Amino acid sequence: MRDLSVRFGSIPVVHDLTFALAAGDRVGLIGESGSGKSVAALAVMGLLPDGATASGHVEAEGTSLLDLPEKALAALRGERVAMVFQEPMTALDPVMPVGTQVAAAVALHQDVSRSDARAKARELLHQVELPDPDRAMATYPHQLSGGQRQRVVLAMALANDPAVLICDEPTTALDVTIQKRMLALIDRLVADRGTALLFISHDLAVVSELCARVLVLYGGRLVEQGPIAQVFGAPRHPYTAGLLAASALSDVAPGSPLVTIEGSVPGIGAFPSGCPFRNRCPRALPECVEVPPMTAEPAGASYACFNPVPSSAPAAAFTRPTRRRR
Amino acid sequence: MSDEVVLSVRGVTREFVRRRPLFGARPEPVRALAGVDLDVRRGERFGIVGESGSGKTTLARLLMGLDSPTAGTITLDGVAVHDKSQSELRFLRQRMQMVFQDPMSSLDPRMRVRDIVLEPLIGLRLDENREARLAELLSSVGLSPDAAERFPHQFSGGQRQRVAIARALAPRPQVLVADEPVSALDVSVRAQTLNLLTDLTSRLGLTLVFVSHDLSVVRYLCDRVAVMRRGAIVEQGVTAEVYADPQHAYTKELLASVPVLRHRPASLAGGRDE
Repeated sequence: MRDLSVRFGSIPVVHDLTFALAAGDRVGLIGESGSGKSVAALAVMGLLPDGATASGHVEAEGTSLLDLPEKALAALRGERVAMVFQEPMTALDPVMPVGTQVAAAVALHQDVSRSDARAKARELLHQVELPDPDRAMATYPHQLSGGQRQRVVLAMALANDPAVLICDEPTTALDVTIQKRMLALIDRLVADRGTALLFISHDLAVVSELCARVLVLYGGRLVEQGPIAQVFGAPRHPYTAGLLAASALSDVAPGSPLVTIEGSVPGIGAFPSGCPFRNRCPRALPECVEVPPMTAEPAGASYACFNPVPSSAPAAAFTRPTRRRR
Repeated sequence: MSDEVVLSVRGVTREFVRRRPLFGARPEPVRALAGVDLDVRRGERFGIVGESGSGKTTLARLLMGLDSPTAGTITLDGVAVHDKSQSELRFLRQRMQMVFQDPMSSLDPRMRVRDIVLEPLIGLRLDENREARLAELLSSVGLSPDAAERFPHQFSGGQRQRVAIARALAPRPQVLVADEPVSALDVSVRAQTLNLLTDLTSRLGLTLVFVSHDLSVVRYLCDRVAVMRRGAIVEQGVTAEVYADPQHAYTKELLASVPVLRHRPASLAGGRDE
């Protein structure tokens, strides 16, 4: 993906997003609401809503996706690039047994007989660890729990051994014990198949457990990226540092003030020009009205900031306030 | 925190009768709560954790008198609240208020913040200098005075939750019940809201009942915790002790399932053990 930009009408939502996924890569895409993380994924899938336009360059296995006609894109979607959404109920047909739906996902892209497609579907339901796959074939989505539905969606996404699996907050709606099992399953299935994983989440801990690299998005811009150990261990962008500090509930004594990021995430289209974080940033400088270029770090990491957090003392940029008024 | 019990729950059961299907027998009632006992002490922050369907929200609604138990008693300052009609609950509303998960649906979109925040005072017919109280409330939750004339949609999620907190504090309650108040918020805003809740409870001497599915938030915020599963409390105790040495198998599973940040800046990792 190179210089991907997405606009809703005249409002830019994603700016010049560039990254690459190789087979077997596991990349986490993190950001808060309005960061553009889901929109970037939809653009890759060619599923942007009406009125949204994407520009730049998105390539999967040598095929450029953005200028592909809908029909050719539909052939690729689900076959080479598949996606799992946050809410499984919206991704499933409520009036069709799940076995038929998974079989349909198989038959859509593979030249197989109906019975072969059903046999493959059963095997997939077994792989996603649904109890009693034979019975599961005949159940309707409403008869399944949220975690089981999400497993069915995962089975459909993996039906054609896609090169890339995009998961958009797949466990956010799930309970924590179910989430743990779902993450272990994703972990195992993408490892078995060598599938490249793009995992979108707002949860830093989940991403750190599952992914090797991370992309940090804020206001539609990539602000920092690199190996997780590097980016989370020694963040250079003040937003990454602030996000880590604000998430670190278990690292402060109970009840003592948490580190916060000033203000709140602006609405879409309301981010400042230049660096999108500059109106909340404790390290902002006059030159931040310009968009900072990506600065390379060791181990393939990079960040977009004119006044980065010193690599030795990351959280020092943020003080623990006693109380704040706005 | 004192040993004085503010809120006492004894043997509370709540069953919901399911609709009779078109054919067949009436189904068994669903038991959302089955014999819950707990005591909340004055000034403490009490956490109720559980996954979906554990009955934690049903319990919160019963505490607030928004619903009545099938069996059992709930008392606030020694006064039974479980068998009172809504009109008899005025004293309860004055002493206990609630903050909900989604501030967008708990705030009337057509009301200005001024009217939202002052509504409990008017509803409870409390005599007070309302302008002064409004200013005081907005300032205590960190909103500027000009917020009073604006509508809920003109605020961000975190600010809307501040408005909801200001409204809850208006009648000077002793107990605040919060049901997942930070679940819908972005991480950077969640930290601000948690700081605000900590600050307000200690400054106003509030008792907080905090209902959440998020174990990390409860560990950070609450002095004591009750772990719920399928309508029953499986374990309760001092938060630090329950987290350090869980006794019930379910509590152990729950704690083991919490995702852990694998890498973190040295400045953060220094404070506590993994």
